[in-house]
Amino acid sequence: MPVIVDNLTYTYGKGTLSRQVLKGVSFQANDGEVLIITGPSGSGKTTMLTIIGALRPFAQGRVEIHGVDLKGLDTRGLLDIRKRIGFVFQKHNLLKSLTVYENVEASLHGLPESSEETNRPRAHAMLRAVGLEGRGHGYPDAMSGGEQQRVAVARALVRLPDLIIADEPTASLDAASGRLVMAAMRDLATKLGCVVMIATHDERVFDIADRRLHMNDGRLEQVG
Amino acid sequence: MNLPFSTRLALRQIRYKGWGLIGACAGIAVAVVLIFAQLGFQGALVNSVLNLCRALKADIVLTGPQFETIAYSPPWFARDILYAAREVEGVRDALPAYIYIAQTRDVSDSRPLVARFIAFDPAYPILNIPEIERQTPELRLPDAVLMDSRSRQGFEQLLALYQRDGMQRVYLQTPNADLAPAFDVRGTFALGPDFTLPGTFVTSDLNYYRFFGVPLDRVALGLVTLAPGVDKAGAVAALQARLGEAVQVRTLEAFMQAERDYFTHSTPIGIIFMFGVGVGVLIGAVFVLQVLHGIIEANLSEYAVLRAMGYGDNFFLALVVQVATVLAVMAFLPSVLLTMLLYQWASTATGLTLALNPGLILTVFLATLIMSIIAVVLALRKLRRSNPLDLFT
Repeated sequence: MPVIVDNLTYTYGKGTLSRQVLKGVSFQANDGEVLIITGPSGSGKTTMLTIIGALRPFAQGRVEIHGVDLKGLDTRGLLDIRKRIGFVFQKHNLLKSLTVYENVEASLHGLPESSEETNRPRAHAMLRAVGLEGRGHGYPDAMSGGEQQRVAVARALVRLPDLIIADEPTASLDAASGRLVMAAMRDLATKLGCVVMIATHDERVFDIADRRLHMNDGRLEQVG
Repeated sequence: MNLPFSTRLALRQIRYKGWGLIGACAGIAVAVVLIFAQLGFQGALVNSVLNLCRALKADIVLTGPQFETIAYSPPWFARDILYAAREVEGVRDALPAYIYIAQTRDVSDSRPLVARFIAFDPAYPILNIPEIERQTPELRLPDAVLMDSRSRQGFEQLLALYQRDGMQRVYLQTPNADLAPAFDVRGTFALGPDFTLPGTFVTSDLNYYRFFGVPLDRVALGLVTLAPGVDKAGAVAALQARLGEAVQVRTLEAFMQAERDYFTHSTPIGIIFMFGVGVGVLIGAVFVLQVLHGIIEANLSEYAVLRAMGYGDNFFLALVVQVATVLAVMAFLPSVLLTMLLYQWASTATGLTLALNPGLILTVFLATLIMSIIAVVLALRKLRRSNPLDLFT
């Protein structure tokens, strides 16, 4: 199973000030599956995504990504596992000093299979896949918000990740742009066979998910 | 050219700063010029003291036990010691040099001018200056002196009068002006001023005695020449063994190094100049840091995304090091040009020799890199604020 989360428990702080935000969360996800995670603020969804994204060490429970157990990994190990994960955030966070193509290519540097010869066609192919063919030599500032977010999606997917974690990727986009971004993510995830986990409050895009998981007070409730 | 990603990103982020970079580079350049000025002037000042040392005809220099520097009136030692030195094997000759710092009266307005008088037996010139050797017959005349044509700060007038009218009579400054001894400038030579004394005169040992009344058995320097092929270190050891604690025995090179060390380490001059270099490094570091902070602040979220993608601390360290280094180099090159102009102006104004040699350029470049390193170390604190966890809503 590509992603396994088993009895994940997480507590902030110590002693009387401690607060348990994840209370034994368990679920699994298959290749190519798109999961939407919803829940009110403070329900624990961000904490869960940062743990699954190898951004936050944890002590209780089990998280496996393609057979690699994240528990107990040191900083180096977490960095290595993150090279197999793509991230999309609410803001595109593209480097303004680099071209669109170079922003996408930045995702490939440091990967074991990275080379100058292969990076260029891969980056251009991914820009084509998100509908931005021919825009690679421009700069992010010259693009609309939706286009910039699609570049961010291309940046996350170009490394052919095992897992994509997206946090409110459509929150700052209008409905049409939001659907374009989500459709791009959905199509590519299916083609590439990677798991996609999207934390969102945007009901307009719920329909693109294979499953919707709802978090409430640190516990997971499967909605559909 | 396939540059590493950190290098490409560093160059792009510098370029993206655009015109805003000019102010920062100008600030760094001013700091670099300040460092050049401090080290250049220090070098020139110390070098000016060494002008006389370089001109000495000697393999080995003898000085009194309390001797510290040639720049002020050196303490004397007994001339008999030179006779003893001549008996040491390998010594060809040991000649006395007399040095006296005195005030002369300005030819135009009678204000006091400090000058150094160097005296020796005209039969045995002690300075490797052809103009002096050529004019030793004049030096034998009573009250005759030769004047350093590169003397400054008040001596220009005297030189101009000499060049126009020939021999000039000059009086020494004494409490009773009517009894002041006088001397005649009968020729010139070129040595150059040092920063402690604006003017130098050369005269005979007999005139020296006549002017200052100092007995000639009180010697300031003993200048020892060795027979061809004699090992200097061996001769120094033999002389020290023969002469004991009555004198310091050093090769000319060691004597010059001691002069350098004296002004660099034992006087406030060295400390003041080093303080100036330190201030320059700090000012430059502040300007480099300002640019680094600007770039990091503008890209905190973008760097956080790169961290999320697996870029580690080493990448970001390489990035800021390269930004800082490129800034330093960008500011350094115009600084060298500015320094050349500054040195040219200062040389003309002071008569000191300010040389922009490769060693100095390398030293200042290293200081510039140190300012970059300081800025990088300080900038890393800010860089740690780029945290991928902050990207989640």
